[in-house]
Amino acid sequence: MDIRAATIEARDFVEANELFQARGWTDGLPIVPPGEELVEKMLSGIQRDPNEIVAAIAPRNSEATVADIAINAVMAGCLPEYLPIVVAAVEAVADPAFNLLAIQTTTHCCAPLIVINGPVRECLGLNSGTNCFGQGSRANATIGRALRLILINIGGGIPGLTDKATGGHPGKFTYCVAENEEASPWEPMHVAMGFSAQQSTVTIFAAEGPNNVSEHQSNDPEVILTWCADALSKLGSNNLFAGGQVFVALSAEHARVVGNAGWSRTQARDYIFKRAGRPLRDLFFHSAIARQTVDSYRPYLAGKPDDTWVSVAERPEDIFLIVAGGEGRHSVVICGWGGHMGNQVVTRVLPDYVNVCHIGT
Amino acid sequence: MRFYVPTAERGQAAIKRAPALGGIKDSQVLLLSNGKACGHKVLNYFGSLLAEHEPSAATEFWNKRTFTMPADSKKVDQYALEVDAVVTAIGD
Repeated sequence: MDIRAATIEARDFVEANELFQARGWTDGLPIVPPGEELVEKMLSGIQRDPNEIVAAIAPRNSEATVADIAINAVMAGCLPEYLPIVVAAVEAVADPAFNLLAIQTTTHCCAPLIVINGPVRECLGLNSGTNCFGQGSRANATIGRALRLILINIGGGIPGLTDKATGGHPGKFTYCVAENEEASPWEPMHVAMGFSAQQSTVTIFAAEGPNNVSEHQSNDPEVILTWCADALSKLGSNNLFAGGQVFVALSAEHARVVGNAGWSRTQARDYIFKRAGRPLRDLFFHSAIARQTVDSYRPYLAGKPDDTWVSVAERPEDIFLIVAGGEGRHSVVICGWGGHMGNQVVTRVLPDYVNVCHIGT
Repeated sequence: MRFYVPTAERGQAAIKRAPALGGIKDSQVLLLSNGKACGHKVLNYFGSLLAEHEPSAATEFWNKRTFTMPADSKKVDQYALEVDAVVTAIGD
């Protein structure tokens, strides 16, 4: 196989690991050294030319080929079947709407959250249920990690040098989840966005870490959704100052309460939209500079009365409502990086062949 | 054993570097700030380097107030008619 990528010599896997660590080609964790055989096997998972350029990755703007992505996917521990997902995730983050240059270099903590919908979830064994934002699933763990390694190694997002995140968050190691479509009372998120249920999609969101919403008593949808909205409305999130988009991942149990009460996805989403925010006076509390900041990002708020309502999102469609997680009354809300600073959620459709299961056959 | 390098390095041609700012003698350079203190500091430093090395070049400071994004391309085109080079700050 003709793979146009530089190579390096090492005595064995242990030495290769130390070499890659010393060169800064990792996220700090040990990697699977990308030997020729493993990279060729990884490339068998995708029906594309290994030397095809997929995208230029900011801030370095190096052009990533399919093979470059495969090399990093090997290092992350991916199976070949995961490669089309990783390639689609790279295409999504490189979409100008995502503003990767800013996401890679910002002082904000955000990391690209990968949300996967459609039949591919089952084929790859992606976890959408219990502990889906946590450890335990090879697919979730390594797909998210592969994207991070690509952002480091090809994009040049080097902590302290170009990645200037003040604190970052653990999702910068890996951040990948699937929607629990089977437990959802509604159509899957990608179907609500206009794709078909037979298609699989990858959606990328520049995300803070997940925030837990623990609500254990009520069977009233308004209570569950109000608590989610409140958790999204914290002072200090970029969303309050710059608008943008947010994710709400209702647990299977919370979603069942809302769905059983006859609420549609749109109703639930609109309810959260109306309540996720704060009056303008809260943003300006003791801070004239904050007023300048808000006026810059959201000029239409300049001169408005202090009791003007400021939503965390610009439109109801900017509240991305999914069902993720298992039984238990803990949902998750996730704030973003901020839409008025020039960042939008991006979705890519996966090729049809990923929807045919091969793993274990 | 041979291992692939994960950095997409195939020579310098693969890396799209920022264009060099050459031939700026007697030119007018617009420093386009983004409203953040650190960006302003970097542009100021750039302006002082210009003053030191290319004293005939004149600099002017404007504020685009879009913190993280390049200035609107139409505006940059408009500025480009008025000056010889536009240097813009983004991000933090």
